[in-house]
Amino acid sequence: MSQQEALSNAWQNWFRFSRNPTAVIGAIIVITSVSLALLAPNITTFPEHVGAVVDFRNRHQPPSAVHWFGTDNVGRDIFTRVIFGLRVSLLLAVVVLGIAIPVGVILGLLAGYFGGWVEIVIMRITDIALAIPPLVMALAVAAVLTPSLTNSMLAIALLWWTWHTRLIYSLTRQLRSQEFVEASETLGASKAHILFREILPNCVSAIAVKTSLDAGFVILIGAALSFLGLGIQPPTPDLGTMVASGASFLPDYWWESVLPGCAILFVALGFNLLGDGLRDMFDVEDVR
Amino acid sequence: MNTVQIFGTIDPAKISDYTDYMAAVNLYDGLVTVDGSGNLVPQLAESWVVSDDASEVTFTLRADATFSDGSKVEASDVVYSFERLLRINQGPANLFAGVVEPGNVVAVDARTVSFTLSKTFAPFMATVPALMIVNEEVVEANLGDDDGQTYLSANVAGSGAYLLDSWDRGSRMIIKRDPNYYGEMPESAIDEVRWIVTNDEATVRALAASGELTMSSQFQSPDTYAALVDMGRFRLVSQPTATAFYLKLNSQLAPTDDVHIRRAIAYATDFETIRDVIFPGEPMTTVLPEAFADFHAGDVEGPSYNLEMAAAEVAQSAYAGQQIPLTLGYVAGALFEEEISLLMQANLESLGFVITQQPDPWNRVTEIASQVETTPNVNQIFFGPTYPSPDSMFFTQYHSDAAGTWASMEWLQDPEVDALIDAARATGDVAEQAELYKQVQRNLAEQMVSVPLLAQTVQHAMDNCLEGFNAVPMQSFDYDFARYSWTCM
Repeated sequence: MSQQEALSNAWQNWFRFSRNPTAVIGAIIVITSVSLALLAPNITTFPEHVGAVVDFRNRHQPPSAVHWFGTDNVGRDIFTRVIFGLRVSLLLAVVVLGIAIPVGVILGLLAGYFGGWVEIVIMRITDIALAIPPLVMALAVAAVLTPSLTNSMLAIALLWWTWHTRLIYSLTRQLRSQEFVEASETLGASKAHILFREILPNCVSAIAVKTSLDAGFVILIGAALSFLGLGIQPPTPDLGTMVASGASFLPDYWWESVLPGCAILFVALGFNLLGDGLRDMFDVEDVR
Repeated sequence: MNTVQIFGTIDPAKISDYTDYMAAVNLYDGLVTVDGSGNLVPQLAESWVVSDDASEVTFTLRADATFSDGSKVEASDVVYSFERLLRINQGPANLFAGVVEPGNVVAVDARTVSFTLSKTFAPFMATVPALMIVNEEVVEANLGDDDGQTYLSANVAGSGAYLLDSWDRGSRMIIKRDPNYYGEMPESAIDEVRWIVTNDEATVRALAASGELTMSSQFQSPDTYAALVDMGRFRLVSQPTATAFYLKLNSQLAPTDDVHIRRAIAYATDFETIRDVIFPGEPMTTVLPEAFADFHAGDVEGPSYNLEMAAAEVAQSAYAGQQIPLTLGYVAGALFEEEISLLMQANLESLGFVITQQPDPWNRVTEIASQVETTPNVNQIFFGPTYPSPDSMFFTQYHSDAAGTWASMEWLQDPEVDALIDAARATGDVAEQAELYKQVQRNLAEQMVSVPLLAQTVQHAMDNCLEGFNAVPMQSFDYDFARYSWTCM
């Protein structure tokens, strides 16, 4: 592929991407969330409210020009805490996918390429792991170990790789009999070369789509876990915990749970839209 | 009425917590019961005689006392109930273990039963209300191979004013008035009580709005009480109780093993904000609530909020001049405890402490309390008397024999305190007891192993037509609905 071809290919992709409104909106949301999270200390009005600050005279204040999202039950600014809460959510997605994707991809490549007993062992383990709902697994891990964010993340990551294994496995099976793979084999290329230099690059688009879609789900599961009390320890802000503690003040002080809830919706939606857009762009059919 | 925990059991030999007792006091009667001032009042027994050396108590049963199946309550039923309780050895059995041996409860005749104590145990009479009498014939007929535990876990064989109507473990219990109850009931007594199990504030409000709720639990948030009162149908009933709310400081774990650090924590506690804004309650100066008026050491000046004094105490401690790590434990999900914990963190951080918050669900709190190393430095714990005697407050929390439970997270191992509590148990003289208990309070105030935050004010939103709530310093005897009445007709 010449450089010009690559350029025109990229241009084509960008053209398809920019014509897809959902993808563009998704990308904007994701970029906004990430930059808000990164710049949190600079753009929030009460960065000290992330720590142990109590101001009981200002508790339960409705949204106003000073407190955009109102204040919570100990008088902290909810907008500030939501922005900082994004950090926890995004970190969760990065850690879980950072563990799950490499593990899942490598196992998928091995199973798909070698077949035989390697395939049987890997895919049956995958099937077993797939049968366990991630939320239940996370609850069980939290019950056995101390309930904490780290343990919950590990529990989710322990199961999440299975989806990537499945996906890469099916792609590798298709690619294994392609001519360029057979050509490499004839030329005596090493197995590692074939797996990582010939097959893997052809899976990248599928992985990108899957990752983007997954990020939204992981954030949702993380929020569900902290809603159930298995999240990060206070006073560190966390969206799921904020929804949970605000829920006891419904409906009078609705902003304390509804607005952090909207923030979860916003981020999860952004990643989902982006994933959908990428799928259309790369024309990958079998990723859901 | 809503209740926030599920009913664990209705077997009077196994009941242990607040919610269990709530059902049991309605379904069963004891020999005696307790009124709002902590005095014993007759129930199945019409009178009792305590021997001069306080080692023998003889009860005379009411002639007209009957079980709900119509048979007479006899002395043999009392003996049977007591021995069954000790055999199963759960629930209230620990109150009697070592005090009255099996075989020392004797039916003198059909209406007279005597208890012989193995040792002088001053609080004995106060523990008698926890003994609920079961119907021997009914239990014997349904004995199974587990002493009737299976039968009594779902059925009632008692003499209480109410009969079990239906019980759906996770969600509700309904009891109906026994028309043939032997005892006195108020005029226009309550015919049916429905407990709905929920701790969700929004659900409680919805139940109140739809007219299903007559009385709230005592654990609602101030906002919910306010919302219910605004509906017009409810009024807020508030009463001081003998239940104390403490910061229990682990005296065996660094840095709270240093008395100066413990005093610094007490000085860093903003008592007024906690009582006025976060959780309603009466001020408390010693570890004993003032509800025990005769035993309360009035000369002890309670702890106060003073950050300068706190800083001075830190400077005197062995940990002065360094960052001091400190763990604050509280019950996960209890919003007011989280608020108190954040308030403590804000104040303590200004003194150079490095705070770790440790919220744990209640069942985990009971687990971490069993070892010194896993018990956090600071613990928010409610403790109320399980029987109406100051002994219940002191022995369970501060005697070294009682260490290793959630009630004794101080891990106090002080021979002097032990000796005082033992001495108070062994004497029948109330004035002497009071002096001993006052000494314990002075000693504990000096050591500051528990910071007394407040004496709980019990609050219920009650329908304007419902009367009869009176806080009782024993378990949940205040929810004996035979004492309630409906004033609107």
